[in-house]
Amino acid sequence: MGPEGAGGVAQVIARLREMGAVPLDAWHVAALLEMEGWSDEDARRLDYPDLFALARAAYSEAVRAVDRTFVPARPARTLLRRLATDAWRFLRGVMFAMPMVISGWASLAVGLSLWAYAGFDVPEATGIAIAVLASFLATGGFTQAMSRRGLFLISLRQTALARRTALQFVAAGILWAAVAGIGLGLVLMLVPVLRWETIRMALLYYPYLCLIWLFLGLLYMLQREFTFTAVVAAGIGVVYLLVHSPLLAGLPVHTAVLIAHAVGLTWCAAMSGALALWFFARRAHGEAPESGGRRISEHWPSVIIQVYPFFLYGLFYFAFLFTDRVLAWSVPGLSPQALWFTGRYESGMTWASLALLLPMGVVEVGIHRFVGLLFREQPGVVLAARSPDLGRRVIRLWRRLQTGVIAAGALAVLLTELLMHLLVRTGTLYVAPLLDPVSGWVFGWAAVGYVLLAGGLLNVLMLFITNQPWPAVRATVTALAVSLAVGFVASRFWYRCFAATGCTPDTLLRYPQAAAGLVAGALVFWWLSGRAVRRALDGADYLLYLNA
Amino acid sequence: MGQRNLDVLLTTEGTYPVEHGGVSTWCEQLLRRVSGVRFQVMTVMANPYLSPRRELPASVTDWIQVPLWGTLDPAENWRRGLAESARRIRLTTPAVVRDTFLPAFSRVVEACWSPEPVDGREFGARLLDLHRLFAAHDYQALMKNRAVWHWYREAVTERFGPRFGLEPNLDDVAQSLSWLYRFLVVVATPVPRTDITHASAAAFCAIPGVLARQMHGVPLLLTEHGVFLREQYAGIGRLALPPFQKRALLGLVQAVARAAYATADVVAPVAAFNTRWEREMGVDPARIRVIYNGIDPDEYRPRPRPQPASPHPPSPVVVSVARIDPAKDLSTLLQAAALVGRDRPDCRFVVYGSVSAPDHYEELLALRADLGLQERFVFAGHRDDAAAVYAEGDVVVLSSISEGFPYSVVEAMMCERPVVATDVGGVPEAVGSAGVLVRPRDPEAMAAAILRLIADPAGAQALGKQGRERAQSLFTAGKFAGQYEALYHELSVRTREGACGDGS
Repeated sequence: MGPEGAGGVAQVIARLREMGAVPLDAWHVAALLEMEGWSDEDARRLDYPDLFALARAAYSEAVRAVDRTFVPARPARTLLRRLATDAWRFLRGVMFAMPMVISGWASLAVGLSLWAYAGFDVPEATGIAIAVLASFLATGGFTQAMSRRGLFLISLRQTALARRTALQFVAAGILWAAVAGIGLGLVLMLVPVLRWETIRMALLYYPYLCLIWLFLGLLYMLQREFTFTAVVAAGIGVVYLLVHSPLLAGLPVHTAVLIAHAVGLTWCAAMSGALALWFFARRAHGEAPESGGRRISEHWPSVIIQVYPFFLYGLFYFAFLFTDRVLAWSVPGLSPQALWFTGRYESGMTWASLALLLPMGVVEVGIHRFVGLLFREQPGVVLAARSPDLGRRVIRLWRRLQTGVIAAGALAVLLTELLMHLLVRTGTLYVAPLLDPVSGWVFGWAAVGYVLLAGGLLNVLMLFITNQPWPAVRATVTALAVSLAVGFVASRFWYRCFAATGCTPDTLLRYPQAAAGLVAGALVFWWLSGRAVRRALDGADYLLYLNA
Repeated sequence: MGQRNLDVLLTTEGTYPVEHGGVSTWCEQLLRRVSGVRFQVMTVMANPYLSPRRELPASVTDWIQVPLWGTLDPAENWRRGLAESARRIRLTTPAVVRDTFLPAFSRVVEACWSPEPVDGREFGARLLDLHRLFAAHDYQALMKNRAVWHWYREAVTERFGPRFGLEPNLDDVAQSLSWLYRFLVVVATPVPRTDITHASAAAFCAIPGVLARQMHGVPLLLTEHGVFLREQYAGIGRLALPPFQKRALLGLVQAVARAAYATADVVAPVAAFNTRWEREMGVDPARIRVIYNGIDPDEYRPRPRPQPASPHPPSPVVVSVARIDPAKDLSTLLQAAALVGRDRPDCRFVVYGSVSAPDHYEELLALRADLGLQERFVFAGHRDDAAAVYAEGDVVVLSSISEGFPYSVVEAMMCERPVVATDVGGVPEAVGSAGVLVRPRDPEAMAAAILRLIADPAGAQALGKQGRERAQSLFTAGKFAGQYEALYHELSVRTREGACGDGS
């Protein structure tokens, strides 16, 4: 072990080589030798005053060797495995949009859903529609903000804290929703633009809906898309079975449906809450418990500063999603009150929501590809001196992904058309968009709008992952404004352009045109968010640091 | 004492109170035994989610945590109000970043990676410039500014890379800058006003002391356990990191260590062995005072070995108290155990210590299986009742390749147990002639020493008694506390008399 005899430097270099060590400087040599048990005495035996002197002499000899031993580990993955992973992610993406599709479809197919019932009269249905809209607006910001913070804490394996924080977000959401609900109720009652039946239904459904969005938000945060979909599907099942069960047989159908809805919605909220807690507990299993008597708590001012752009995004995103419906419900002359829900419009939207499924699958696959390329594959390959190469490569991927999303959307629309024709031909189902011009218009517009929306969501996810929420917020706010303006003009004034063709203002060419606002808004959303992504990727190297 | 209590800021790094180990034991001794002092403890730690391993002593008035990772924005550490945070963000304009922050930041970075060893004083002054900027602005907005990235990328491409003969890639640039972003959190942390700063390593935790020394003339006392710089050389050298990143990290670590050495009024290593590195790093020997660790002779008193209820003579047991960490070189102990087993197949080995390197633990378990030692070599985990643990062993072994002044050796001596330890760091100073020293990484020598002691119980017992005598005269907690009390008062008097107001 110990150095004996002459040629100290040669011995040191030989030993370093045996160790496979490439010294970074003379002190590194000294440290390595000490760890091998060499001492000043050993150095003196080799005619050096001390170990540092020997190390310096050895290093000046060894300095020509530059450490190039590092070979980055690349996990070898077979094509089959990659395809399987992609397929799984694709399914998860599809599942993300599934609850909306399932619940729309249930109301089309069996006339019943978690909160819809074909037998409700229009003022009542309008009340529920207002509750849906208001509940999304009240909770959307909270669920987005909660996801952002919760996912971060989960990534740190701080599940106990993540759970606590998430539940605090839920509590804050409930509190806010209650305040907003009371405010909404007062406004509806004091400003006499809606009938009592409408107001009553809105106030009845609003609390339930707020609760399920907040609790489903927990599953969304935990990335449990399948569970999330299953809970909603099961909730619809509960409503259906209850309505048709002997339990409620003695009651008027109307009352039975109200009870079934209350039970179904409660079941959904409770199940998602319970399952979320269970997933939290399972995840926390194996993590070090919060021992030592110290319960770490969030510093809320910091958290608020971090998440408030995400909160705003959530709020404006849902506002944007519902703008066209509100415009359609409020076309003057259409209705006996300020807002008048229309099932024909809704069925167009429901059919169009099918166009979201395939593109959302591509979005999920794409976002993982994007992260892999930008943060894992390329940084170790692209030399700092050639930093623009990184942006070029990632932009190329982004273009491919956008093309993929739009193509998947086009395919989905085509398949939906085919399905509709098939169903009509076999007489299985009454297919509104083919048989009813209002639904037809809405379907046409909204299908295009949803495909663009999926493209925009890919961009927004990219912006979020690279820690740039503000361009996403701006794109959403602009989309909201454009959707409002275009939808307004389209639903109120476009018919005049078609007057010569004999179309009259109060038939097909009025309120369904509000959906053109969705298309315009989605186009702006897609384009602005895409421009932001493009700009960010032009300086993609900075994103590596921004996210480190 | 008739005097007012001294306020001392004790700074630690990754040790007390969130981990077990020698430094934490030392902190406990200091906090519990030194009288007339109120302590604030500041811990530079990996993330904010670590909890104290034990209750903090009554002398500790505050525990300031400085987590480097585990936050989306390091401002979470400073728990400022919403209005204050918003104000700082507003103040941190692009012009501030460009004209004020970037020049100060670039001087720090250039110093870290200069081809010449950095002047510690100068570097300390540069850190103070940064500290003042951080004190008035938003950390994230300063550090994560695009202009900072661009400057840094160019600097790496044009100067730092070529200086090391390397062509860094973007991962090198992003990683190394993100380390600066994380480590400079210590520079941005507000420093409480105290009479003395006592740093437990010439590491990032010394930075508050370096700052306080310059801002308010607060004396800095620097205790060195293992030599931080040397341990980093060994540790970073071993990491599977690209060469540029290793150099970048070491450049930063060395600059910080030099600033600590240059600023400290007194450097108090736990063993004379450490002074070699300190002198090498330019510390004037007149500023160095060795203060050995001390333990309580009543707590660590000789006890008989627990006897199993068996008619046969008990089989020999070798105990080692050491964390599962590469520095403890337990693989050599495993090999020695295999060699001992040839002559004494009944001899058992028990290692008490928490796992600080899980990967390394896996390697050790694999080696144990290869050597067929599953039955005879036990990893028994950490035990709080160390005094009882030593009683279980006929021989106590320490196989480290690097040590400061190991408690386990002194504790074993105090318990009258014969010690076999590697001749590293401050171990020879602790053991003297009252134990057996062997070369590190030499399983044959270690096995031979163990076998000798097992074969000669009378000799082993005599060696144990010698050990207790030596420990009682040199390494008691009382002596240790007295030396620090005196040093604290000496430093505080110096401050009051203005003898070190200019930092010289």
